[in-house]
Amino acid sequence: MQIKGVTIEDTFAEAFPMWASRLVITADTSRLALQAAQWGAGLATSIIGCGCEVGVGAAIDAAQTPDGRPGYELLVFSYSPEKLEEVLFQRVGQAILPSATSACFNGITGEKSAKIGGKLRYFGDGFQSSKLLDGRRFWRIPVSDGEFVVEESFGLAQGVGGGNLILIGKQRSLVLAAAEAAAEAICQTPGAIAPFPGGVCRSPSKIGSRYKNVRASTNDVFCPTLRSRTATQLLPEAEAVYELVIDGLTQESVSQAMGAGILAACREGMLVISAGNYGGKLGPYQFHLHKILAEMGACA
Amino acid sequence: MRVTLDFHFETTLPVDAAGLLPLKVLSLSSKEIERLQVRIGSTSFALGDCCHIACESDATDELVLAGHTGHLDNIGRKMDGSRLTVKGDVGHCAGVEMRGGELVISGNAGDYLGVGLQNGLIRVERNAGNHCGACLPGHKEGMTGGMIFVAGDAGNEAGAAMRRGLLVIGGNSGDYTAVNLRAGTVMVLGTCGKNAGLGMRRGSLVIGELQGPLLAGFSPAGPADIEWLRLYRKKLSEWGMPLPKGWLESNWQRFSGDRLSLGKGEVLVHERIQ
Repeated sequence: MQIKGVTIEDTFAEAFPMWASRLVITADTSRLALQAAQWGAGLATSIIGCGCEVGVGAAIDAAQTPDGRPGYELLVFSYSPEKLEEVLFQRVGQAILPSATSACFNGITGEKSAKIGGKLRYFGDGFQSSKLLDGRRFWRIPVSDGEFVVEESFGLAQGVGGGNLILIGKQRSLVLAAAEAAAEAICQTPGAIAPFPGGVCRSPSKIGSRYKNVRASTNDVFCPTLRSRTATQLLPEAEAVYELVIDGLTQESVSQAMGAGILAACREGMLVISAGNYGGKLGPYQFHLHKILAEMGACA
Repeated sequence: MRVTLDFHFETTLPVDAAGLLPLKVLSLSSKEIERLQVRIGSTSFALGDCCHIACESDATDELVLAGHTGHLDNIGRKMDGSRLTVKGDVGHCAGVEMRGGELVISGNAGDYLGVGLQNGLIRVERNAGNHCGACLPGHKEGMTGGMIFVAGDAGNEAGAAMRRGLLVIGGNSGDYTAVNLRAGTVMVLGTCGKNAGLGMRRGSLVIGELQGPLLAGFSPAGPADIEWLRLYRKKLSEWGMPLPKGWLESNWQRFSGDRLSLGKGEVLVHERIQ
């Protein structure tokens, strides 16, 4: 299949179940809310080394947030409810609480819940108080610019992690521009994130290494400089490869994000769009590129 | 199903309507409803002798009391679900120890409205008497949950000894508002009488306009961060009890107290723009 001269390989991305949470972060201004969300998403690119994958989602209009202030959603993914609770506590406590004028609310109803505000309240050192409103408890923790309001419990829901696209092109700057366009399209999809810097990853990894204790290593088949030393998957004219990793709250959100990403990446300088998988042996979810495009009505 | 009880029986004696609970009445046939007993003064009467009964099977579940309802006491007492609407005034003790559901009163409510409320919503479209949302005589705690919205004024001791829940008074409240408050939230969009918050341990009293100084047990704590009040603004708007426009955009002062008690409570006072 070709779209605008770019070959879409007949392959699939293999994805895995993950546990997900959605935080709604508000502040006095949209800039402050975004700042708090971005810090909350810090160093959370890959579950391999960070224990979680986090991305800033869509801006939320003031009319849609619990406190009527501008906000951003933050999507947090991890491999177990316990780990997710741990990283949520760290991120809310160490990044969002210190952010000026911020507040943090639960934005998802899940099968499980994690007590975050209920533990973070002890930072109030006995001066904290709470309000129970419509069955939800909110903690008010005194801080030096007023109060940090945080919800007691956050929902933990089954999500999907590991959706991906591999973009292969002729010239690095052009492939990067295509990848950035794809990342933007992915991040505009409700319930989906691309957790790498700017949504783009230049270090796709393979499982294992020639060194013991190294769980993941560079995926040499996509490295242009190793073309003569490995079983390269690059076309002779390919100069650069970028990967986009996609996590979503549902299979549909991952599928929609991948489709939007493919369409946005089909532009000048691109040769091939592919996806990474393990032959279908590892993850229960398969996102077939051709099928996604067919469902979107985007087939040529 | 909607059942309407139209009270044509005029009396100056108190009428005990404690048995007229929506979940119970809606489960009965019209013949069974007619045989229900209500006490007028010290005498029991069959409901069929006091009111016209109308049943509409295709309407949403609701018990409606209409006609001469002003002497009905104990309406919705220990009510635990569904909806009870009163088209007119009610007597004393409406919604006492209510556990769930919605009680809507289109007129005025007497004393002891929602006393000991545990859950559910009470909405009064005009005024409420004394001890609204307070505690029963001899009890230590008032409301332990639920919400009371009074569109007009409330009498003395509104929200007294409240343990949890939300009481919003759209107009003014009398003396000793939120006296001995233990926790929960009392909002008076107008002004309070004397001794507001006396003996308050925890909780929040929000006052739209302060007429005189607060009691000596309250210390000024400077400008208030009203982030948590914004949560209430949105919900109250959804529940049909909106806060005044621009209320949260102006300045608020916070007082902590009452130091004569535990002292962990707060009074937020709206600074009106002159």
